[in-house]
Amino acid sequence: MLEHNVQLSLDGDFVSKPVLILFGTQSGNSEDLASQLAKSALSQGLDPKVVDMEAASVEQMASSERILIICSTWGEGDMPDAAEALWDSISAENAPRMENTHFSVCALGDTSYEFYCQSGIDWDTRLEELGAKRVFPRKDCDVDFDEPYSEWANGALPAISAVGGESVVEVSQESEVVIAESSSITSSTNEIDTIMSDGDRKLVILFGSQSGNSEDLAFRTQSKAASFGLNAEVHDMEGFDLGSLTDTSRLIIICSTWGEGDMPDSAEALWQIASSDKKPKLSKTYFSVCSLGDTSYELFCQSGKDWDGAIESMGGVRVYDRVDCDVDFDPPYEEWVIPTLANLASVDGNGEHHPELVTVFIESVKGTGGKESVEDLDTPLISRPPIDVTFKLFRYNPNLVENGWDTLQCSMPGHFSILDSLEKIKSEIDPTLSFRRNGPLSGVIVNGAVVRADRSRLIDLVRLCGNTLKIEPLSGYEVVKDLVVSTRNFDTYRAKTKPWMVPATRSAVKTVSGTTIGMVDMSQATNLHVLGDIDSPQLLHSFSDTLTYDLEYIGPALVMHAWKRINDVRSSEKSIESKINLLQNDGGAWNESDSSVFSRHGELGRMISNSFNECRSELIRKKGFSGKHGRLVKWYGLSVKWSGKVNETTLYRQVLGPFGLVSNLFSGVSMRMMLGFTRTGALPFRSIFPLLAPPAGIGKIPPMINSKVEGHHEVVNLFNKLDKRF
Amino acid sequence: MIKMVKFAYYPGNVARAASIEVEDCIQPLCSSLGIDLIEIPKATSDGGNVISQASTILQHSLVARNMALAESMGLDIITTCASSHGINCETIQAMEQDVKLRSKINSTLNQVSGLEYSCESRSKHLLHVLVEEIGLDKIRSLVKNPLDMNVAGYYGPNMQKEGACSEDNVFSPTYLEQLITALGGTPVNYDLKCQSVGAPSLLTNQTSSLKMTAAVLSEAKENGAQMMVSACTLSHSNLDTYQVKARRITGKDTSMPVIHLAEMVAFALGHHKDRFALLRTRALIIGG
Repeated sequence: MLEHNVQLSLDGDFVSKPVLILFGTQSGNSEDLASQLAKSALSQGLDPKVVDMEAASVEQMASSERILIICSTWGEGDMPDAAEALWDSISAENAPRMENTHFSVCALGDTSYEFYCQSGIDWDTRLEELGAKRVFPRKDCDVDFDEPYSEWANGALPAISAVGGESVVEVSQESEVVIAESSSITSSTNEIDTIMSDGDRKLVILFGSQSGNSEDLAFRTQSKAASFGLNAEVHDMEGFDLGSLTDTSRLIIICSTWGEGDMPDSAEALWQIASSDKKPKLSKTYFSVCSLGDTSYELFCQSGKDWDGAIESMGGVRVYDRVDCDVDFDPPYEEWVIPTLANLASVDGNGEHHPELVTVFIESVKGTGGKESVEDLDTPLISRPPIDVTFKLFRYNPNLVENGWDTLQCSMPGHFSILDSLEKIKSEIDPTLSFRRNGPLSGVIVNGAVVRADRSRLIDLVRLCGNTLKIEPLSGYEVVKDLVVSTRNFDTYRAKTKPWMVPATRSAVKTVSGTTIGMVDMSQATNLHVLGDIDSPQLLHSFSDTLTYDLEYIGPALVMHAWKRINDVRSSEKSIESKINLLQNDGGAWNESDSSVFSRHGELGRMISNSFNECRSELIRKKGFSGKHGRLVKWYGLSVKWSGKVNETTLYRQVLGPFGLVSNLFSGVSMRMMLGFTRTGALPFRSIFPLLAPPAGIGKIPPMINSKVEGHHEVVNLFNKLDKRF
Repeated sequence: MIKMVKFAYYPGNVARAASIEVEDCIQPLCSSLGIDLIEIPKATSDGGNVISQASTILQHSLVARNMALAESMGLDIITTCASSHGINCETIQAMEQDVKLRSKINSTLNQVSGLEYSCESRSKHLLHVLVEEIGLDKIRSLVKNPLDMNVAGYYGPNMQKEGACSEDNVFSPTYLEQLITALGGTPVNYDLKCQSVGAPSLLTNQTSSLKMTAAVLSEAKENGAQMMVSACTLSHSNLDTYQVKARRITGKDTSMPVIHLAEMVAFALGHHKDRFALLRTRALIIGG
């Protein structure tokens, strides 16, 4: 059953209504939202055109019947730089009237500034002054803009979609529309049935994967393709014959980017062919590309971009624009995959594309289709009976700068995730509750455990933590509102660490097919994969207890990333040296006060804890026992070697030095050591030693020299066999 | 007649140095509860998670040697220090999971000490032994001087991980609170009881370490604690000796008596009455 927002002409042909989506952006958020809005507009039967305000003109606006504006505010209520010229034109006295224009505005801003969302307010006011008709009220969005944006988009799109267009049936008389739709549905459904049952329905999905994400998405796409009547075949790029695509009408490429814009290892050979003279002609091939990458790298999604251009250069026809996905790839992938499959499904058995059927395909799979088929991929949902849970939810109101805890006693199905529970609380109890949905940033801390809200089931957490679940935002980040954190600091540090790969020139080998490739030893490759097998750097960042108290510290996720680069044989010597310095200097690996805390977080935590030790060992190897940290390790080891025991006095003297000891004298530390016997009632002197070398041995001050353990020579032998530096 | 349970006693790195009061209490309390502590004269430092920063295998070998010594006595190890227990458990886990590592360590141990560790002897923390093996009912029945104070338990992170926390909960442990109740005290619940106080970095990242210390102490105090008991002998130094410095750095109220687990149990069981009187006076009247 189709929904009413499908617009049909009187003769049953599909008609798209054009809508101009204008964005004015400074940091890229408005642009992102404009792109999202365009995709949502497609499903409303609209024909969106996204234009940067920098490239737009007043005349273009005046001639548009429908305009949606997303604009951020910069500094003290200023327009973004890119929007300045357009704003000057439209605010001029001779600006054209816009009586035929319908509009709505989404304003982005930051409540911590005095002129909150001023740019959006200015556009809203000015368009009204020029006679344009507001179809949906302006929405002002704070830094946590996801939710208010969605509210605006959900209201503004149907409203703008309902606006005019002479060739389109007005949705004023429901019965007529239903009749029109009904006849058209039949017609369209017949066409779909014809297409789906006639001729070749093969779809080739090629993936190039380094960490497995592209492969996963390829199989998910295969499963979704079944709903569109497509017979999808999934192929790894490794060993794939590019020539076999010449007879293929439908192609999807899902490819990740590795290092500095490189192809994944498994895709390298195929890429060499695709970029050589041996490449085939693909004039019969309709295609689209999903590119995975990481915005923290300079050449973001480069591999996908390369494939997109290469297939086009071979004669392929792009049926849907490439999507470039950041590390949180699920949302953009989900937005891309349905229209892509609908477009490819609209290619008939003779290789002819029918764009008019795209929306009908999309509508036809709503509700059931477009989801991975249960038989193939989805783990069957095992329903669990409701369990009584007391949620203690952290709340923070940024407007009042107040925080506190809400306690809610609920009964929730045991199979609910934390995210499901938060959604239910929000919809039924407190609509003001804010949290992030899906992906790594949905992470929260539940009773001390760092978890992804969308992947943690209540029943498991209750087993682990009991029936009271205390949910708080990820630590080590600034809290924006309630459970929503800002990763701004993390991202800033990440950029400063220059995380991208700077490759060295390496020797290579020729494969049987004549391709030249660089080789990585299997054990080194495995080690690299282990070091990189981190689901979410943002969550790993929260594993540290130190971060909250040390703002200089870049955090364990970035330390691990730099450590991975150091271990990568493809890294240049210069970049390894810079990473070593990064980790050795203030803010680096030594700033972690207690790396053993990572082990609390299961297998991943243990791996991180071990890697931290290996990383610090390497720093000592490269830099010697320098600095306080180096001295601590050196003298700890030496004192154990000398007697089998730790000599704390030696450590204090060697690590803190005379100034540190004086500082202890004046800060009450030495006094508390000496008065230990009065506080606990123990003996003031433990031996005659303090009388010979005061104040050693008084109160809780440990002796300067330890007696040796029995069989001390064994300890010396052990040190000499394993580490002669001590 | 009390049925005795035997353990090889590993005092950790500081119980016979800066935290000598642990040594004063562990023997009498174990005697009262029927725990027979057997010395391991050849045992060494476990490396304190510091030596591992230069050489992981050296720290593992030091720990494995201690464990092998206990194994040769046919005993499990008991310790009062959460850090030492955590370090022991990490080595045991690593040797169980990595056959190559186990083989290399045992080969070296064999050469230097004529020992091998087969991972049969285990490490146990005093807290876990008290709750799981001795039993809270028995402890309750032996209490002579009930604590009668609001006591905050500090676990630290080292024994709150899988494989080291015994049957207690990794993220929401309750053993200390159960024990405090059994000893006639009122447990104080607070969020940071498992947070690190940065003990391994006390001398190197002192500001962060003391900020972490101040956060733990002040939060316990805000929740009504009159006294804190630490299950980690190493962290005790941060919490007690450095609490004035932590207050100066952060401006938080950190003033509170902090005692070791062994002291708390020994006092409640009637040992060192004079010390307990001094402690109570300090907690109830003088404060910090």
